[in-house]
Amino acid sequence: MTLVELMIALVIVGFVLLAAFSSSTALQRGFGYTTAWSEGRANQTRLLDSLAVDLRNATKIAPFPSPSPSFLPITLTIPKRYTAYRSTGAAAGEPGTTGSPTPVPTPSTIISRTGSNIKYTDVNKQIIEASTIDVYYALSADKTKITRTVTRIGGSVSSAGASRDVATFPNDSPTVRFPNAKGPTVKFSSNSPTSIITSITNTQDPDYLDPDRTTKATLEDTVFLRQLSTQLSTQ
Amino acid sequence: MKQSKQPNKKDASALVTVILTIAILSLLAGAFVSNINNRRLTVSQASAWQEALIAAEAGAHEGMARVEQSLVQNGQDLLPANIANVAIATPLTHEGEGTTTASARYSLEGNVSGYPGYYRIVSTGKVDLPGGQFLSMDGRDAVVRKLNLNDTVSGAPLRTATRTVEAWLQPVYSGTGSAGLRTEETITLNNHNIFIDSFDSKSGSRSYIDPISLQGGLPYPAGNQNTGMGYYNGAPDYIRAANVSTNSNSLSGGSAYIYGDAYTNGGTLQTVVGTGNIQGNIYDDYYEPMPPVYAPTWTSGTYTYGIPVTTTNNGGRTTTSYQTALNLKNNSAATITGGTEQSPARYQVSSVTLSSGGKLTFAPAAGSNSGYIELHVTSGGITTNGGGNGDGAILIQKGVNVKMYVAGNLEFKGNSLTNVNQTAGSLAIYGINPPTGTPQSFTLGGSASFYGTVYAPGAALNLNGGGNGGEFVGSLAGLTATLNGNVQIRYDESLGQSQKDTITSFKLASWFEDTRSWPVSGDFKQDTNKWLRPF
Repeated sequence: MTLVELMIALVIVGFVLLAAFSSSTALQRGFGYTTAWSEGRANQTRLLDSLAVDLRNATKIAPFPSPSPSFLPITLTIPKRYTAYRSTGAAAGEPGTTGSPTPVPTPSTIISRTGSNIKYTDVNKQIIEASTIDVYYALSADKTKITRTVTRIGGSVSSAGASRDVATFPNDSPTVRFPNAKGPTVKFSSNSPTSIITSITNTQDPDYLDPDRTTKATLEDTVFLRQLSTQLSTQ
Repeated sequence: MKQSKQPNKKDASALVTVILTIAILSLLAGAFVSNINNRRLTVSQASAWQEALIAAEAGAHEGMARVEQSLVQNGQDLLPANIANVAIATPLTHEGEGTTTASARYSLEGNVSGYPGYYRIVSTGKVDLPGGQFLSMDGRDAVVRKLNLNDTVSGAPLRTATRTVEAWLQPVYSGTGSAGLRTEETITLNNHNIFIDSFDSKSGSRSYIDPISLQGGLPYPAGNQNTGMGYYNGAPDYIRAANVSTNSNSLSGGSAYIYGDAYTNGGTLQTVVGTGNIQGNIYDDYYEPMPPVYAPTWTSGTYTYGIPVTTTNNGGRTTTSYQTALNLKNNSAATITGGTEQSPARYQVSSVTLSSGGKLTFAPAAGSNSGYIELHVTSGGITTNGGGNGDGAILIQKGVNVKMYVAGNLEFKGNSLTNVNQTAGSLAIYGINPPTGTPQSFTLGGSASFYGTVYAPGAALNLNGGGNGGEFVGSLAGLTATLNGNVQIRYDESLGQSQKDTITSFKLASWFEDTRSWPVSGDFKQDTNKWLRPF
């Protein structure tokens, strides 16, 4: 092998290695983008699903500060409908839960009153707006996590402060908005909305890959305020 | 002789290079496939979880339909018994990965918490999850959606997403519906002196006590120029419950004062007119079924055919005869006495005609201060001409509760009905639906107060006010409604809680998802202190 041949071979190998490295970097970057995006979307979806479950059950939603880039923290007030909770057996959402669970969950006493509303009451048979559960969604101190905290108000069972992380957005602070919410509070009234738009926006790209990129992704859905609307229909 | 070539070290290094390259590429491909599969699982599990809610709601709707279907005979006695854990009639098939069926089971529980007519439906929808016993990208997905990924929990054969909804049905009684005045077809209010307001006879703060008789639970006195109308619809509660509703698109308001909302079914600016004095809102998306009223099916021996009429001849001798077509005139009178609430006194006649001072009295049972009476008029309706001030042709005495089932027309003229109880709940008049094509009219007039409820879904309802106004305390429902003159309808909101009338339909009182959760053995390794709590 002559020196010329050797030089030619080295140049070719150099090009091949350069191409391989470039491809590898691009693949890695693309892989990182798609992973970050899908993780961000999964967190968005999970947060939206969690909010949707609570929004459907809520009878009061507040506050809606305006203007604000984010409507968090927000508190959803849900009637405390049960005086008894099972401590054993399959849970709601478990396959062992049937249409006739044993023991049967005990609804609180109901009271009809003006306008044919049903209000769920505590054992004292009082009409208890206070007998509710507050579900509190808030950003964590470092602005990257959204937590859901439950506070039971009244009743004999205390579980104040039970909480869990619902979603994590490591790249930046997410924005959660309710674009069609009017006023500081959504609650039962003759002009209550029957649905609420929930919009979640965050940066899906990891900064370490390309700090200059600020691509935002928004997941938006309309949630039917089932309980609030049911109250409306009974007026 | 051909000799084999000696192994070359260059060939071996090339092989190693190829193997390494393939291994690296395989790892990359594996990571890629794993990543894609996780995303697929996330999407599929979320999708299954959403479908489980649809299935659960389908079960609740089937339960509601089952209850509604029972309303075939005046809504009485045919409501389904409690039903436990039945599968929906038709599984919801669909195309999906890992599952092709969404199923639901539901339970019906009647007379919930001792409230007659209330139904509670608990329905659980289930969709099998695709994939193996794996979490998707993030364990919190399974926590939020309470997915079961463990085959051994409760012996369930498959991994599933299940959701439970609970719906409460509230009976709608014929005495109220959701309105003081409601019809299937057109409502015509012909006078701006028509007032429709509401009060609650069971509420001390929203009803009036007569300072002379000390009778409570009354609407606020209308006063001169109707100054007292709407008294209990204003401050401090601002309850606008004197609703007017029609299943048609036609409401001619006549600038009447309505202290509630007006509901139509598709009403437009052309079909809903004269609404300037409606104090509430106007809606165009109303529909509330008005089931027909059938003739009661009393068994032989449980009722009296005819009404006893006692007459005295010139010689002073009294005789009692049973008139099957009651016709009282020239100051003749008849009195029927009540039974108990469990065993009311039942009378059946073909018609009732009262004129020239003829008077029919509904009295308590002998030796009692209360009575329950049911009167079935089989064909000829009821006609009264009124009996002068204070002694109407029909007199319902204190403590007596009356139900009238009327086939044919009904016409009350003058002060022809006096209900001493002064409670709407003590008199219920049902108009038995006429054969198709046969008109029926219910006409109520006069200047005195009428306390009662009228439910006649096949009758043209005519209300005519007298000189100072005809006051109708209770609720009214008909095929159509035409109000003329000075008419005041005082809707008693407490009728919505009455359990004595006929159930005509059900409406949703509550609908929520049971999101409770409890620790279960064999769950998927989450921090139970944080999430396995009620709600």
